[in-house]
Amino acid sequence: MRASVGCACVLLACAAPAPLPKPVLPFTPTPDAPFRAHPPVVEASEPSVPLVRATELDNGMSVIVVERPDLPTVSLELVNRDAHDGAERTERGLAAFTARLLNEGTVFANGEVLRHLRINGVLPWRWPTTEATSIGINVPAAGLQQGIGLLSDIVRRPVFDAQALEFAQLDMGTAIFNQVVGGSHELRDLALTALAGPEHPPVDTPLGSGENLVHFSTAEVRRFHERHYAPEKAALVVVGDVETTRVFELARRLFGDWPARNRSAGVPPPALEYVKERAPVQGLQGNEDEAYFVLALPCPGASDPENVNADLLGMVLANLTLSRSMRTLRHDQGITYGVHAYCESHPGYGVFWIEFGVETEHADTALKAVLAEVERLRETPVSPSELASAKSRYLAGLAERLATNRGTAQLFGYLYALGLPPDELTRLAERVHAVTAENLRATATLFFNGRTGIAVAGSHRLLEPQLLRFGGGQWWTVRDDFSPPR
Amino acid sequence: MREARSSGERGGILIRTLGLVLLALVTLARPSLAAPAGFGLPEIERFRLSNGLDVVLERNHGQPRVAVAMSYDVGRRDDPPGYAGLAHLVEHLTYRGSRHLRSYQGPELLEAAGVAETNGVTQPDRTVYYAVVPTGALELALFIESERMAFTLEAFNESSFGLERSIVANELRLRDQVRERFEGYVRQCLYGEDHPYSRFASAPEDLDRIGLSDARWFFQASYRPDRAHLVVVGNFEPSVVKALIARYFGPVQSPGMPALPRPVLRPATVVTRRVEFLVRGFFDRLVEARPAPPPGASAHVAAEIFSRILGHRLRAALGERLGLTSAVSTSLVDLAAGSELWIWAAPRSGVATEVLEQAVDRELRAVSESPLRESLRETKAELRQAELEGLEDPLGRAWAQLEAVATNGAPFDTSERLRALQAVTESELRAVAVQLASGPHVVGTLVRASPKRVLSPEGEVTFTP
Repeated sequence: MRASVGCACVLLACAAPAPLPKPVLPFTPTPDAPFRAHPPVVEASEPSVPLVRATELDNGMSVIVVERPDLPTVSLELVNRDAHDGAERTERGLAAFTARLLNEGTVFANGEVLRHLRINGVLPWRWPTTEATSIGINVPAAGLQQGIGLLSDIVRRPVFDAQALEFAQLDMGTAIFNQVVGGSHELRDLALTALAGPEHPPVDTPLGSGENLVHFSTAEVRRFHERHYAPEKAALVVVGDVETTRVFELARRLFGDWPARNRSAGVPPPALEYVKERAPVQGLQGNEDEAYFVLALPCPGASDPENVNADLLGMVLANLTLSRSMRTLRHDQGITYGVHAYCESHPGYGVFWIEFGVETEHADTALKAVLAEVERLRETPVSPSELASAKSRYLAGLAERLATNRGTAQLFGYLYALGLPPDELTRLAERVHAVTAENLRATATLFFNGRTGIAVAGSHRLLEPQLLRFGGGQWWTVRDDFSPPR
Repeated sequence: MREARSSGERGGILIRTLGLVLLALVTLARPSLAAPAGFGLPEIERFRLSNGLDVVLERNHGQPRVAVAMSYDVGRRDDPPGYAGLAHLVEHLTYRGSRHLRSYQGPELLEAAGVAETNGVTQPDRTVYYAVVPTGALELALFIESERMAFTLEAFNESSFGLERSIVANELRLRDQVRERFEGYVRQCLYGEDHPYSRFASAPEDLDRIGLSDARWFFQASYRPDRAHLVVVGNFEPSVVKALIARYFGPVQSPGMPALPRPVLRPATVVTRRVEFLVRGFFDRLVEARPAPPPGASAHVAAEIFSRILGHRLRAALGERLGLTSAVSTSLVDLAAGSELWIWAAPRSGVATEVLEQAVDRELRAVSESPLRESLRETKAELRQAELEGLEDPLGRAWAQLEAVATNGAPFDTSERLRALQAVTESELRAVAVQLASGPHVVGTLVRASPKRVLSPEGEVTFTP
């Protein structure tokens, strides 16, 4: 049996289906009650920031511990904040690739690391970002020593042999391939190119490109590891059913002999420089029935106190249920499923992303509406209820991360990666509460100043006329010849 | 609503596992991995209101948040023929307000109260609404769900209906439709073309056919206390929660019409052996799907362990040793009609799917015939650790409760789960492995083809008996 799905029309399937029964009255048989007239009042709750203890080993390595005895499990996170890509484009992806290779074994037990970790529970996760590399595992509380020992072996005694290199290239090639196939990463790259030119620093997960990947050698990986993995740039974060003194003792025993390099500052973080002339909309040939937009705007960097304001602006613009864009495009017009916006902060710069899919015929209406809402954030202070909801949502996100061992370990690892102290979280909650509507307007005025990179995936034929009012489009084709390397 | 991730009561008998200290935790793993004595597991209680609402409470003392999940026994499989998408559309419509809430006021109130996660999800067997909130917002979450059940229908109108139908169409456009269709074709092979699991999530012509009256009727037939399960997981005072549930849900009445009939579903039998799906602009995949022991059966836990072992072995053999795949994964999918073991494999460039299929089958047989003792021990430890970590996730626990109630007829009990894991022997594991390796299965190939070869933009499908 062979059938073209688009044309298949079996007689049975084409016949009109039987009409459905009618509803009955009354629609609401349940009696009303006075207590239903008003929603229950909710007591305000604050994220519970845990007590953090930290020390520094003689070799400069930081150890950060949070005791949480509720469950007999522990999350471990080893952060290397010098292990990120530099400005050289042909080396983009080397930090992530090195991190991937670290999982392939140590000089003591090549290939046995994953097996050991399976015995202990969950496989490790890798977290390469543009500012650090993290490797984490979860272990039972009784496996604390074994877990710290494994992390020590993984980062200090890797093998980096040819076979491991080939496996890792295959694995990473697939990840990059999936990113390209999805289209979202390519759209982001195009939007950021429109904002900051082709030499912009990496965004998203910095996996690099397939072209770079196939050229990485074991010698390059080994060199990157020797240069960028060092105790004075590393932190061990331990969260769970542990005693701090025991963790400090184990860290000294298992990491204490990792020699310090006493090097000067590592790779400087890249910066974002904006193009002088407004670029046309970057179009990626795609489906006829939907236009998917990605907008890139400037926003504060990670160490800029205003980055909280940018996150709150993202919620008011798009991320709340009744955010301005959601109300306009989804709830009132039904032309989109959702709009998403947030500030991606890096040391030294940030990118404010706005993303939404819309029916092709409404593409210009939707883009115009979103840009108008961005403009309105500059001109008019947000309402008190918008500000309150945004703050509440922001703090709920923080509480959510702090509710699990793994989330807490990742959060403190992230602070370390950004060069921020562990008690930054306590100050963060205070900073959020202190933000005013005027603060948000000032941040919007400073950063949303007309510099916007726009990319869209959709039908060139149908979208081009709609994009004329936005300066027209420059069209590209999705690479469809990319395959994971053999 | 927004995209999400994407589950005995015996006539009011109380089931409790109050503060059990698990012997299994100590004996399951090697001594160095044993859990400390005194660790308490959640307290579980189940009861039914007089209107039929099924309630499961799981009290977890260490949890700062509370998850509220309301599940209705209606899902995609209940879409009437020609009305695909009706269950999903009704799920959307319930956000458009009620007698006491404005349109979208429910999620707005939850956001103001510090909600961590909230969504509505239409699955094949059920529709679930959930929220994870600070404990202080528990009453609000219950209020909103009671409004949805009792006072929403009167707020359905032509305006909101038209908007939500358009939003659902937009949502479907965003999804990975090639993969969804491919899975649908594989399920047609497993269950037969007329089976409810073989339907696609939606078809544009069906969505256009649905009217407001259809949505109203469907809501009345499905969203009612005698077809619903309420799960609350977190650190709460049981007597207080019970009083709140009685207040908000006790008076709710089902409409004066029968509930939507739900026939017993035919389990997977492998009706058709092979399916090939040619599409433009995707990538090659090989899928093998097998009927597996259903949830509740003792062999199901062994099948779960086998699925994990098989995943590890296939990655090592096909990916690393033979270099045939760029990715391979296994999963055990639990549905009301039974379970399915799925193997997904992505061939490396230049590797024919026929070669990959032979390698998968060869490795499957090899695993079923090889020593399994060490793998069994490792996988038990892996699953045990996952159970412990899962206690940090109240929403995950709520989903587990819904699954357990639907498939086993009893709440999820961690101590029972760990005992069942511990009880699996090597011979039981081998029996399941042999059964799965030698039993009937469906082979599906997703093939990327040029536009010249595939004339229809939606692809071409070929079934082979």
